[in-house]
Amino acid sequence: MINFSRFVLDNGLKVIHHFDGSTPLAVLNVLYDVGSRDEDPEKTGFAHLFEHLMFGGSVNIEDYDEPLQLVGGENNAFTNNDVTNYYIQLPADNIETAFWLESDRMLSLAFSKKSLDVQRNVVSEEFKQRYLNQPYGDVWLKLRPLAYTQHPYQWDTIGKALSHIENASLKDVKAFFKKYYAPNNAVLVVSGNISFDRTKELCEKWFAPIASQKIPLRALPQEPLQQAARTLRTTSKVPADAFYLAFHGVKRNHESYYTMDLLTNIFGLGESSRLYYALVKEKQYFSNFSCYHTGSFDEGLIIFSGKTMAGVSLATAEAAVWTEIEKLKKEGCKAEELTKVKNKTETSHIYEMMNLLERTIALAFAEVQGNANQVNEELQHFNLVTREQIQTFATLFLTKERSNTMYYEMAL
Amino acid sequence: MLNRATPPPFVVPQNFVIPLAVQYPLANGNILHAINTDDDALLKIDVFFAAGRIYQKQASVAALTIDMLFESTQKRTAMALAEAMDFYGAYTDYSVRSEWASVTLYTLNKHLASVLPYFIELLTLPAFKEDELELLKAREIQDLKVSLEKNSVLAQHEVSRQVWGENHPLGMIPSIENYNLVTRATIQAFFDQHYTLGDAHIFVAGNLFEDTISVLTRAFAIGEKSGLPLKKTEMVLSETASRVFVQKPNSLQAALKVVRSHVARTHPDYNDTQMLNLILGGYFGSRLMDNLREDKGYTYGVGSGISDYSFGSQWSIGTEVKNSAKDNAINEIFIEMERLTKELIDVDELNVARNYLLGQVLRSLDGPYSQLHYAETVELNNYSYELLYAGFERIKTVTPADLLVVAKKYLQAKDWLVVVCGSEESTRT
Repeated sequence: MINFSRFVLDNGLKVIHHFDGSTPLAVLNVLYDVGSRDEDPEKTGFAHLFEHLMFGGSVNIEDYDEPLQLVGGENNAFTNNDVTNYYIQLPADNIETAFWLESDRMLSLAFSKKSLDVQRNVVSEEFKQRYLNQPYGDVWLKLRPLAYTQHPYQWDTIGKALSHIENASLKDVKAFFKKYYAPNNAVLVVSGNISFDRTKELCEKWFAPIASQKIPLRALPQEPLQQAARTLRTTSKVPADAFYLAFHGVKRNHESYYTMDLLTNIFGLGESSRLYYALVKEKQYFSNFSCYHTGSFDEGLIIFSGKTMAGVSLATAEAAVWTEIEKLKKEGCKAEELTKVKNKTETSHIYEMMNLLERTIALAFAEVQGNANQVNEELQHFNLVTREQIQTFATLFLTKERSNTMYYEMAL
Repeated sequence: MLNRATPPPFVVPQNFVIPLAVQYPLANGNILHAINTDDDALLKIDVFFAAGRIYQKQASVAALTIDMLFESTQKRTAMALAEAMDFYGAYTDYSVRSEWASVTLYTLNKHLASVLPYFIELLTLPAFKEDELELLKAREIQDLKVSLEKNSVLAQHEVSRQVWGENHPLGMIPSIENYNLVTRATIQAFFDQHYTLGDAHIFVAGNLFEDTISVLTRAFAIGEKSGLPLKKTEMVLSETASRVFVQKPNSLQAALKVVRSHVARTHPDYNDTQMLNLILGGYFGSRLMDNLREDKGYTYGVGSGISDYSFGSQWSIGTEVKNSAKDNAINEIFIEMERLTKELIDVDELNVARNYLLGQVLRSLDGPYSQLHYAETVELNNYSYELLYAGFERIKTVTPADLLVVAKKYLQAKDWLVVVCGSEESTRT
């Protein structure tokens, strides 16, 4: 059970406080409710580029990192399709430094030309290092536009193309800040060895003076229900063919989310999972296989993927995957199988929640979706899932008409 | 009016406590090392064997042996074993390093008694079936082919070749030919020699009830202590550090590794070089990060670190840079090294690094698994707690003059090997 309290400042900043007296540390986490799904289709990769610029100095503080290092702290940030999240971990005694730094960059950035120039280069190198100069690195750049025709999940967080990043101007950057970086578009979580009263006092002191902004209502293009199978064949200089099969799933807040999660685990979690056993060990079609879902806030993807063994055709491999999917749709799963994935989920949930930073980020994610207490309700939801629900979900969602298949082939 | 320009006051962490592991004797003369925490329902059990790569006579033998522990046992198939452990929600993990191999079990306390027999079974009764080994090799070869497309992997292989030589167990590079040479008999022999539970180092962290301890001490008291002496290998200092270029056509980025053989953790210079490393490239505020990323935008990141062996260490700097910037990047790395050998580090810069590192120590001691890690480091390397505490104290007292002394000693360009993997004909020599 994770105990927490919640309050909202007058400017709309939502605050969660979580006390843990067993650690000498504290964490301050700011989650902004903006991700790559909110980007202009002609200016993609912007939420992530902006995350880099948040470290380029703020209105009253020239350098972000150094004052934090001086007090023994550490920070990082990440951007995904849904949100942008910043965290600081430091000795609890020095928590005020974190308030000072985070509130100043929420107030305003320095917007230096040099910082933009350099971070455009850094992000370009990140694009190359992670997506272009790696075998299979561009899989998501190809799979997303195949699976999504309307919804902005059709582009990856890094952006559609290097040119979008290279063309970013200081004007774009300022407009983005004004549009999304405001107290009423953020969730602040303060956790660790710091009292509620102190948290409240420091919030009032550092964050309350920041004015709220008018935040545009999110009205994203919705993905129409897929009616016909889509396929893509692509070749690249890789040492093995790879197979990808994607289906649309449900939103993070949907009641069937837990069913979807357990279903993918029955298929793909661990060496006793159905597809690992059937396709890697028995038939030996794949050198590895995974089945998982993207966990996105809006309707994400359920992915089946693996690299085939030399000499196995992708068509053969694909047919074998479908055999396993159809088998589960027809026969359902066994009771022990469902108990197994529930037990695995319990272990991994407890493992994650042992870590202060993970707990903190989980609270922020749950709160921005409307209910911080979700972190405490999660296991109960998983426990209620039935075999019938697993079978029904598979039957409804894992169909040919709603499939997106990609053959990622070796260039000869 | 709130003053946002002046930083709030702060204190620097000064006092650190490394929790001591409690030792429980086992009936076979071995010991269970335990870190007890009050309220964590999850147990982590680490079992270390002297079965690292340094003991192998052939490439990939150490790695394949530990991989095979997760296949069939003499009692049941791989699938039945995985199913039995998965049913109780257990997770396993393993790693092979240069000297030690370790197998980890995560299980909820309530399932310990059910899961443990399976865990012990996989550690003690592997079947090493021929067909499973062949399939594993085929999968590994597939993965290797993917790795060999990565510049950073190719560069790292070249570093191993240069530093150790291909006849040294740590210099043996995985290759398709090498995988094909490994036989079932080799694996069985390596297992027989290195995986005696009686000689293993066993650790647990979590909420340890009396029951928990008695289940664990009973289960692990099998196998005899053989007292096999650990193989000591001398560190081969590469006398003629050089520059090696590995060609990888059409690289958008080049991988750079700049490496030297270095002193052991017990050496009097070690702690000061850790601070020097931090300032050079060991954290986000380091000089190399400032120079290569924040000033020039050549790279997404650059890092520098010291990895320890019982007999020495290796100091290495690594980065992936825009291919066209590779020569400039190497230049800048050596400029930063040279600057540290010529100029005293500014006190403010040192204080930032010092305080950051003290914060890091505090973080590294937080939580049961971090504490377990300390206990393991001390036990496996025969370190004293005094050595570690002295290291913490040294962070507080080291001066710019001290760092200049070690910089002159260890940051001379001639002692560093440079490996570049990227496109084009060659780098300058």
